[in-house]
Amino acid sequence: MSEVKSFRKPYNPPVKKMSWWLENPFFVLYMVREGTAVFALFAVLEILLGIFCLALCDVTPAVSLKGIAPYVWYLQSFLANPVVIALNVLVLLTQLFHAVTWFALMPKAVRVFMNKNSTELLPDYVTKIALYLGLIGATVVVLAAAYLTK
Amino acid sequence: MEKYQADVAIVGAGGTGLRAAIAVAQADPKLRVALISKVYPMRSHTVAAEGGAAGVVRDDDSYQKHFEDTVAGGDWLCEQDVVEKFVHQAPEELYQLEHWGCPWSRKPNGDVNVRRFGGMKVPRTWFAADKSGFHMLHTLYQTSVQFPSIQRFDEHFVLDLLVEDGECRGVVCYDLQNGVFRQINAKTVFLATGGAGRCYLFNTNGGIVTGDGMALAYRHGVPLRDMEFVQYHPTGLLGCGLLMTEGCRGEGGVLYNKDGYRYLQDYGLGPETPVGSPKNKYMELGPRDRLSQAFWNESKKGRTFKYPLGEAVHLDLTHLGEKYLHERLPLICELAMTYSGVDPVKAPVPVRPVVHYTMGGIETDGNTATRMPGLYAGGECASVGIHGANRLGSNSLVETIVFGKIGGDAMAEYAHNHKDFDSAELTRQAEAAEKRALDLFDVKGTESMSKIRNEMGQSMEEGVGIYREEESMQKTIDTLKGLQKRIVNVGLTDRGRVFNTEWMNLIELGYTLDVAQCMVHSAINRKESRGSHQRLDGPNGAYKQRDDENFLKHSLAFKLEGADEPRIELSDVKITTFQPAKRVYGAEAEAAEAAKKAKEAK
Amino acid sequence: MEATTKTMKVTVLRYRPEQDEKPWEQTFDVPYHRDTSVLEALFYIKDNFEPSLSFRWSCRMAVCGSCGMMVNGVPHLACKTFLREYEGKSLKIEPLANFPIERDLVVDLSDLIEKIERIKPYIIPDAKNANMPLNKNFKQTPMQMEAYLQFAQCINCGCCYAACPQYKLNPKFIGPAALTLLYRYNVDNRDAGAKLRAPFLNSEEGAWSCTFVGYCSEVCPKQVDPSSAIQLGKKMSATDYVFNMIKPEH
Repeated sequence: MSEVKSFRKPYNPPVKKMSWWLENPFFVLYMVREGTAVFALFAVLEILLGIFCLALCDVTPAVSLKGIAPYVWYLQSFLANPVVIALNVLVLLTQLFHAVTWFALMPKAVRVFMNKNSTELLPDYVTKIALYLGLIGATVVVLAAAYLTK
Repeated sequence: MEKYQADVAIVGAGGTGLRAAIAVAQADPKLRVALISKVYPMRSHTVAAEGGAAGVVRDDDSYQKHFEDTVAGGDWLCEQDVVEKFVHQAPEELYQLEHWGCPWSRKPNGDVNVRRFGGMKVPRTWFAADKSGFHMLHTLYQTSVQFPSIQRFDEHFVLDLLVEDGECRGVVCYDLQNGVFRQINAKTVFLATGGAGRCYLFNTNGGIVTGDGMALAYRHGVPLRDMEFVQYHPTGLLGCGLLMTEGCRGEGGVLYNKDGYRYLQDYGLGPETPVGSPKNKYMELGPRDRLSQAFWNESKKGRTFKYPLGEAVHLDLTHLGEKYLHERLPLICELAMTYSGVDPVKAPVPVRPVVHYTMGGIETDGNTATRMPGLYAGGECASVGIHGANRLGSNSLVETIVFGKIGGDAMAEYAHNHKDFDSAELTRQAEAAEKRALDLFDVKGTESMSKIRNEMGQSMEEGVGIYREEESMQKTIDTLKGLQKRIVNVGLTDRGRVFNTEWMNLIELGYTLDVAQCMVHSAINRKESRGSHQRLDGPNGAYKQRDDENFLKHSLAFKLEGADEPRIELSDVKITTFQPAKRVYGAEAEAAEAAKKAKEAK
Repeated sequence: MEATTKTMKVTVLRYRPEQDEKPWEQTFDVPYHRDTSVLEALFYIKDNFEPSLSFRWSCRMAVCGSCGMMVNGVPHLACKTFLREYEGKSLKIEPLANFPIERDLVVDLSDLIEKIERIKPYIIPDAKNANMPLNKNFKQTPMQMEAYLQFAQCINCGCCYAACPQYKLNPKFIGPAALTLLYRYNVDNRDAGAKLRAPFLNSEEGAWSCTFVGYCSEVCPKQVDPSSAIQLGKKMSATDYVFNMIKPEH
């Protein structure tokens, strides 16, 4: 008996590498949050396509309809396509969802005290309000710029 | 069996064990320390202590005052020279912990704060909110990690001491995870295994507080001293018995009986102090034994609340306000809410006395050495001589670090003066312990371990409770004797070697039963009332009083070879400067103090 | 604190390494009242039905961290989880997830312990404070204590590791409790050891393996908020990196 080094036989439950997140609603929500990155990727590729089309345009010796055809195609054929519009709506919704979930988490990474001598932390809602204001402000600025340069 | 050589083997990795290990490591990094514990260090019951640790820091305080509070609190059964040493070393150990990162609560200027505590004349209790034990233990554990000379044996259950030529030379233990036995030879062994509150049915203690070290020392002929002195903490939650720290009362909490009356003023602790303005040594800030005894008397008079789970009185903290309560006493707010469904901010909490601390333990001198060379003991499992017949709150957390350090230093010196031990005899003893443990699997009996455990607990509550009588103590003696016969017939269903808790619990129950016997035999032998040992009997009620003439002595419980009961002897108490006097609190104490000053002025 | 008694079906995952190839379930009918905790249900099972059931426990008051286990798939402390919350459902008790199962509800926590001890979890004082006399304390205002105190409440129960998908998929991840303890010492004003802990914090297995799932903070029985500590640790790590680029240390 004393010669045996160990009677252990630990059991390692199998790890579900692909489906672990399905077991718990908290994880499902987390994966959806992370999944919004796919739509963000789509938005990035879409904008890159636009820039590429712009680059393809030939504006020498002067701006002509034939010269800016690639960009026109982008604006009028590609972006106007109902599938693309639907995808862009999805992009908006998922990115809003992402913004909401991230803003909810951000206060955890901000730990400042009310003032120099206080032991009270800045309340979570302050960070959240600041972030939402920032988001709204940025949106207003971008939309205004788009409208004014129409 | 695998064999290890260590310079110092420490059994128990709570406050005392960890402090001792660090002390040895700092004294000499070349000394090999084996730190053995049946649980991971941060699970040790030190973690549950709440109130604080006492050490003189204020200008209006003095070592003399702390000394006098402690000796009077112990009803003069303290080894006064040891108390002197203790109060002197307490503050530096507390500062040491602070340097190591302990989050002691602070004053606005950044210095350590202290609070009032029961039986202390001047506030001197350092506290970390109401989780002082938790923070002390985690600080010690995390600090210990930086010393490579400390080798830990986590989840190793000690089965026996190895003793040769009358000297302690190691331990044999069981690795619960791997399921194998290990022999650890050592020049010195330090027992820091905690108290034995689990002898009783209702207690504030965790499941691991089973008196292991006490039983091991006892079985090898080292006496257990003052075992009859068991502390009932006055404010345990009704039902589960979890601790509502004395800090509640230090911060101003008050106790009411069912008539809304602050009954403590009827028991020599008055006059009544205004709610929210506690006064040291008055009312709710009296010593623990007096408060528990007051409850017992109120219960006899029918003045306690009667709940489905039992009787209780009310601990009222509502006047302290939410902000203050959540800052100073967050843990007890959580406990009361979680386990009793009561929010202390809004309503009084039902509480009752519950077994909490073992004043007695393995007899040691002021340096934690037992009468067996090579064997040391410290912390709650030891009786080093500072608590006497009743411990003051916040003296035991600081006891762990003071005597952890003293013990560690003493053992480092002993180790430097001795060579390694190893012999055929030690190996034989280790193998014998292994066989005894494995033989338990072959017992074909039908006794139930849980029944024996519950009967022991119930019997101790009835016979060796807050107030004791010859008849009920004798009944407990007989019950325990019967249980000792029955425990050898417990058959185990679990024959596994890995984490066999049924088997471990059975061996633990054996330890607890031995310690319980020492408690009741010491109690029936002490024919007086002192501190937490109060009797209602005696010819013409003689035992209701303190009897300094015959019993200003320690009780020593010895294991007799072949006998199934301990033999009780008495030993002298070292009195240096503080002669025994009447133990007074409240207004009586002030009057006595004034009289003393007047006498000195003459 | 009523004492009315009902019973609940409690299923426990069993595993005996010397007899079983893999874990199996055992179900019991356990009586309970308003205050019965999962731990007390386990006591009842061990005392009355199955003495061989093994589980860790000690303090019964959610401060020692021994009794972490999965209750209906969520990490909990058994002593602080009450049967009344599962009224009308059945209860399933399993060992803490993401750790090897040793025996019944006892898991191998050695990885957790090793990581907690790896990150230098002790005060490393500045040279000028190294020999502060033992009658003097560091000054630490209540505000300076607030910076770390919440993160010092961890009872090392392992529930956060059981909750963390990153730890599940990547066992090398240092993990919530250890990273929280690291941060706790970094921001304690008595400590000057952040540089020595940086290799752990900044490494791939350190804060940067965390993707802020946040479930650890959700299950933490002491509201330590480890995910917050790790995000703050990321801030510290990033600042450190930028600083080192601008001003390399000698």
